[in-house]
Amino acid sequence: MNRADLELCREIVELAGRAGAAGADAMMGRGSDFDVTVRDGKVEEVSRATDATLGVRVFLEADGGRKLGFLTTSALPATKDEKERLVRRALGMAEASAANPWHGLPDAADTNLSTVPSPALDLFDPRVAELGPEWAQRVALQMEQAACAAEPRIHAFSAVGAGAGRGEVAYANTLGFSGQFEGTHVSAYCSAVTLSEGGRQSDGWSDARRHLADLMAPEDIAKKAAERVSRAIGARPGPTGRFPVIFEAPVAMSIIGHIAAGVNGDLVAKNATFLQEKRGQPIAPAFFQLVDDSTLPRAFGSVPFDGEGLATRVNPLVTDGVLQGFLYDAFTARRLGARPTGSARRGPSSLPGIGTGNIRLAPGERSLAQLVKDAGRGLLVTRMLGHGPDMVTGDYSRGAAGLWIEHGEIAHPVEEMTVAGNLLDMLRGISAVGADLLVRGGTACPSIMFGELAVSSRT
Amino acid sequence: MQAPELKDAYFSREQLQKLLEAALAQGAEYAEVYIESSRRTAFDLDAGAIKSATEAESLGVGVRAVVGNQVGYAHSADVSEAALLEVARAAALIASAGSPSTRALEIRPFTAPARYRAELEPSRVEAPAKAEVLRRADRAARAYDSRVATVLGAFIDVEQRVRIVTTDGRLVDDERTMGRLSVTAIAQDGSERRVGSWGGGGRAGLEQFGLRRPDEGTSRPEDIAREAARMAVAQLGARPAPAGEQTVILSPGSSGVLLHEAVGHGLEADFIRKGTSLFCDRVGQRVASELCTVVDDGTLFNLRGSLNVDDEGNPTGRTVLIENGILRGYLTDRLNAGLMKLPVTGNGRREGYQHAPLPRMTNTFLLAGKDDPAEMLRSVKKGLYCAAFGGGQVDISNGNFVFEVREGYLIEDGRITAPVKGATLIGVGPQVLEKITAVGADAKMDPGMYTCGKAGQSVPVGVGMPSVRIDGVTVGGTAV
Repeated sequence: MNRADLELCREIVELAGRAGAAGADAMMGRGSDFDVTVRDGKVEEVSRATDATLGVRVFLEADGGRKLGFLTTSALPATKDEKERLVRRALGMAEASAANPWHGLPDAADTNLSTVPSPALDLFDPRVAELGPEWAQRVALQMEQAACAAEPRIHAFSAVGAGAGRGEVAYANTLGFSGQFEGTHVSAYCSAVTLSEGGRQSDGWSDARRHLADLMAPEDIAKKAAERVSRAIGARPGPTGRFPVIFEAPVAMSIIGHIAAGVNGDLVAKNATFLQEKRGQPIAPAFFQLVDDSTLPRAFGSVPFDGEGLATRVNPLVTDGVLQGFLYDAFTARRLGARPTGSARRGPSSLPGIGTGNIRLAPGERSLAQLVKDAGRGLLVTRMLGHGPDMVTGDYSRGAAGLWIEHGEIAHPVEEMTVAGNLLDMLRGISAVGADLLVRGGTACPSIMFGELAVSSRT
Repeated sequence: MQAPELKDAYFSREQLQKLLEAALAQGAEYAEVYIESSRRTAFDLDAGAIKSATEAESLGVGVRAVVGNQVGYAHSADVSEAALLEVARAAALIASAGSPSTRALEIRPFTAPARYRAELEPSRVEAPAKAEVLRRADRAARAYDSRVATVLGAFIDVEQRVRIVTTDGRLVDDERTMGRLSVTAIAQDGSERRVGSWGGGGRAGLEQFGLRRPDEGTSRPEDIAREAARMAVAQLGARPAPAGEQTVILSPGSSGVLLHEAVGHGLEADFIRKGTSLFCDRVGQRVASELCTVVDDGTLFNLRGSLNVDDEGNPTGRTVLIENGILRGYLTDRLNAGLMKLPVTGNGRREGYQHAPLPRMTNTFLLAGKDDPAEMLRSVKKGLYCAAFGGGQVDISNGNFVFEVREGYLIEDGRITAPVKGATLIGVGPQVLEKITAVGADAKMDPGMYTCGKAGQSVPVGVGMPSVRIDGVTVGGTAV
C-alpha cells in the first residue's frame, strides 16, 4: 500500500483543523485495472485505467450547528501551499451551505469500536494483482468459443470479456482515526444474442470476485449464458391476470436491494421510504431472514471501516419477517436520535451516503424446480426492464421476461410483460424462498416466490 | 474557481504529436488523444436548507489506438509527460503485427461551430448565490400547496473543457457549460403520500436559472419547483392503474423518452455492426406508422443533448432516423462509420476521459404532425393519459422496451378524469410505433432533465415529442 497516501490524508485534516475547521476528514483512493473484450476469435478492445482521487470534507462551526463543505480533485496536491489551498476551497464551499445541528464527524462515544484488521477480511489476492490483459484475452476467447459450441443459434455477442484490477483507500479524520486497506477484483462476463425465425433474444452470465480462486470457471459462465439465451428463443407475451410469480435469483436480488435501499436512514429522515414507521413490525413471512454484513471475508461489500472511520459490523435487517431497524451514518443518527450503524459508504470523490455491505437473504429448502412445481400456473421472471419501485410509496411496476409455467412445469418462454404491486403487499405475500443461493457482488440471494402478483400483457 | 486551464505547458503541439506517434508506434491505423478538465459544483437541499456544498475538479487524458475493428484505450489522471507516454504506449499495444506508420503528422486546429453560449459562467458566480437557486425552489414548492410535506432538490453546474487531437490531423477545443436543477416534492394527505419530480437545464450559463435576473431564464427554479409540487398534489387519491393493453395519449415533451428507448438505442451503429439489434438490415423498411418522422439533432441551440463537436472532434448534425415510418439511417461514430461504410453523423460520445467513445444519441425527437391535441383526447372513449415520464430501458435484441409513467390519468369519454398510480408501459419498438394513429401539432422538447446510460457511461441527452395517440400499448398496472 502507498504509505504516502495515508500521510497526505493526515496532513490535510491537520491543516483543516488549523485553518479553523470544527472537524474534517480526507479520503484518498487509487486504483488500476484493465478489461479485454473479444469478438469473432479476436481481441476487440483492451482498456487500461489508472486513477487517483482525493476527497476532503470539512465542517465549520456556525450559528445553529455546523456547515458542510466538500472538495474532490484528481490533481493531487504536492506542496504545502497546494494542500492549504485545497483546504481553503473546501472551507469556502462550507460557507455556502446552511448550518444544522446534525452535521459533523461521529460522536466520540461511537468511535472507540475497534476496526476489523484488514488482513482478516482477505480482500487482496496477490494472484489477481499479477494478472494482465493476456489472461483476460485467454479467458474471454475461451468463453466465446464455449458459448458458441453450446448453442449454435448464437449469432453475436453483446459483450464477452474479462478484467481485473486493484484498488486502495486511505482515510484520516480529526478524531484521530486513520486507516488504510487494499483489495483486488476480477471478473468475467458473457452476454449472447441468438437469431432465429422469431427474431433475436439476448441473455448472459457473469461473475465477479475478489479472489481468482473464487471466480466461476470461464467455460461454466459461457455454458450458463448459452443455456439462458437458448431458453428465451421463441418468447411471446403470456396472459394477463393475477398469478403466482417466481423471481429467479438474478432478478430476486433486486427485491432485497429495494429493502436495503428502503432502510436507509436518510430516506427515513426525509419521510421518503415505503418502510417508514415499519420498524419492529412484520413486513414479510416468518421465514424471511435478511442480514447486512460488512465483515464477511473475501466479499465484495466488506470494508474494515466505514466512510467516516467507524468499525463496520453485521446489521440484521429483517429477522423472522420483522423489520429490525434502519441504517445510519453520523448525520442521520443525530437527526433521528439513533446510533450510527457503520453504514457510511463513499469513495474519495463523493460525500458519505448510507449503504449496505453484503446483503444476504437466507435460502430456503426448496429447489427452483420445486418452486416451479408448487406455482402450478404462473410466471418465472428471468429478466427485467425498468428501474424499480417508487421508493416513497412502494408502488412497483416493471417490465418482465421469462418462462411461463403450466401444470407445475415450464411451458414456453415469454416476453413483453409487466409485473406490478406494492412492495409492502408483495413482501408480505412472499410464499417461499428457494435453496438456490446466488452470490453476485455484495448480494447473496435465492429465488423468491410471490403468492400472487398482477401480471400484464397484450394478450 | 476556474476549471483547470488546458495549459500549453502541459500539452504543447510537440507533446501531443509525440503522444500520437507513441500511440501509432505498434502499427495502429488511427489514434486520438482526449484531454478533459472539468469543474463541477453541487448543492443539496433537504429540510428547507442547503445540506451540503460540493466542488469536484478533474483533469485527465485518454488515448485511443485503432486497428481494423480493434481498439486499445488507456487513460490517466496523472498528466506528467512520462505518465502520458505510458498511457499512449499501453493503448498502442492493440496493434502488434504491423509496423509503425511513417507518415508525417500535420496537426491543424479545427474551429467548431457554436451550438451554445454561457452568458453567466458558473465560475464567475460565488457559491452562496448558487445555493439560493435551491432556496427559491424550496419556497415555491411549499407555497404551492399546504399538503407539500417534503421538498428535496439538487442543483449542479459543470464546466467541461475538452481538447481532442487525432492522427487525421485535427485539433479541436470545446468548452461545454451546463446546469441542471432537479426538485422532488412529496405531498401528504393523511397517510397517503405522493411524489412529484421535475427538473430542467441545458448547455448554458447560470442565466438560465434566473441568476442574472430572477425574472428571466428558461429553467427558473420557481417554475420547476411548482411543477414538481403540482405533480405530487395532483396524484393524491390516485387509483390503481389499469393492466393490459390500452389506448394511450402521450403528452408533449418528456414522452420523447419513448423514442429514445423504442428506436433510438437500437439504431446506434455499434449494435448494428455487431448484429445485436433488431434494426439490423432494416434500412428502407417500414418500422413505424407513416405519421412518424424521428430525428436526432445535436445542433439545437443550448439544449442539454447538444454538442459543438462530439467526443471524437466531429461536428454534430441532424440525422433523420425514420422518415414517414421508413427507416433511413443509423447513428455513427468514426469507428463504426468506417467499418460499415456509413457517413459519420457526429454521435461519438463519452462520459469523460476514462472512457472510449460510443455511438450515442444527442437530442432525439418526433417531428410535429397535424392533429389537434384536444381533438385527439376527445377521440378516446376509454384509455390512459400519460402526462409525465420518468426513465425507460430497452433490450435492443428483441426490442422490448419500458417507459415509466410518473403522472397518469384515466381517459373516460374523451375527458381526463381520475389520477392513477405510476405504471410501466411495455412494448416492442416498431410494433408500438406502428400503432401511432395521431400526432399533434404541438411538438415540444423535454425541459432538459434526462441522462442516458450505456455500457457504464452516462451522457446528458434531450428528448422531444408532440402529443401522440397510440392505439394499444401494454400498461403494467395492478387493476387486472
